[in-house]
Amino acid sequence: MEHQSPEPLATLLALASAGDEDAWRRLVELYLPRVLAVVRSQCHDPELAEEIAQSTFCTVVQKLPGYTEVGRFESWLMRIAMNRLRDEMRRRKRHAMPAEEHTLVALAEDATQGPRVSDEGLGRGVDGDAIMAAMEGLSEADREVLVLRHVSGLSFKQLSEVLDAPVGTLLARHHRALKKLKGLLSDPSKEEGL
Amino acid sequence: MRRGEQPTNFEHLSDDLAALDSRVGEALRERLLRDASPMVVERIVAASRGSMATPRSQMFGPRFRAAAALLTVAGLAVGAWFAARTTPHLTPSPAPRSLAINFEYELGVASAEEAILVAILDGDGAWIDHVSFDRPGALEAEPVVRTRGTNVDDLAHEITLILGTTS
Repeated sequence: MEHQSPEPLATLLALASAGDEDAWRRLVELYLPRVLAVVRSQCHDPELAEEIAQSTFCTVVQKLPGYTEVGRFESWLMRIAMNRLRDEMRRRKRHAMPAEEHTLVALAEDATQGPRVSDEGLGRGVDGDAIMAAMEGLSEADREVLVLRHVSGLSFKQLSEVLDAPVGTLLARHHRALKKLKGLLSDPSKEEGL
Repeated sequence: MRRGEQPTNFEHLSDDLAALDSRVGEALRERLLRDASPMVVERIVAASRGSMATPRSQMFGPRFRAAAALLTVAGLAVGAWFAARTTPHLTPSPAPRSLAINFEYELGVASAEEAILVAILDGDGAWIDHVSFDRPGALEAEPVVRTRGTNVDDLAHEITLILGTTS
């Protein structure tokens, strides 16, 4: 995952851990989109995703002065976000809170506030919306790997730290998810160029 | 997996799966990733402000610096006072005069050599009249001591230097 900022990440982290609010704001700007996208893709609730993102960053800033693992900030941040998400989902299940009828497709449609690349950019005639709809047919674990892999930008090694699972397991899950997705997208009545 | 089949290398995707993987990534990023809303960013920064470390500029403000300066000056003053009390003096203090008097009273009659030394160190020449110079060495020193019974401060300093510091 590349750090897209003129300031080195280590500099921002050092300033923020020393109480520099501007540096902290810059870190939030950089990483909030990815945290929101990952959490939103799992809970399918934009408001809940914002709450969890806020809780995540509050935890991060509190632990920042003691953070010493240089080079692993992204996976550390995502791990905290995923733990917060799981805690909240477990709490909602325990309290039998009514499930919102949000899907990944509806979420994607709702998120189209800004400019989007047209589906032509996807190439080979595979509709982006069709991909999003087909992903609803995947298991939660398979969908999680695909989303984290592409939205968070983490490597499989970093993902293994976030999800606390061996790299081999995640690779197998990724492979299985793509194979199933291919099956869901294929239509025997059409000549698909997959 | 059947006998003879190669185990699947999940790290390397076939061409069709690699192409699908790429399209999945594009679709997800285009639909889920959005620039951070400034309002949401400010809300998060405000919520996390209480958990942030105190900036050094606020920690070491004017009041703290003034207090630190006062403490430093006070500490230096106390240190200097202790140093002054314990520094040994090379010049004789009035203590030898007092010691001479105490010496006389404690021992009654000092030896001739001790009496000579005290008489030299003590500027009061009258003291020497109470000393007995009946020993040969003392007899030889008597005239010198009598003539030098007064104004012995300079001599006392030299003798102290010869004898070394007593403290």
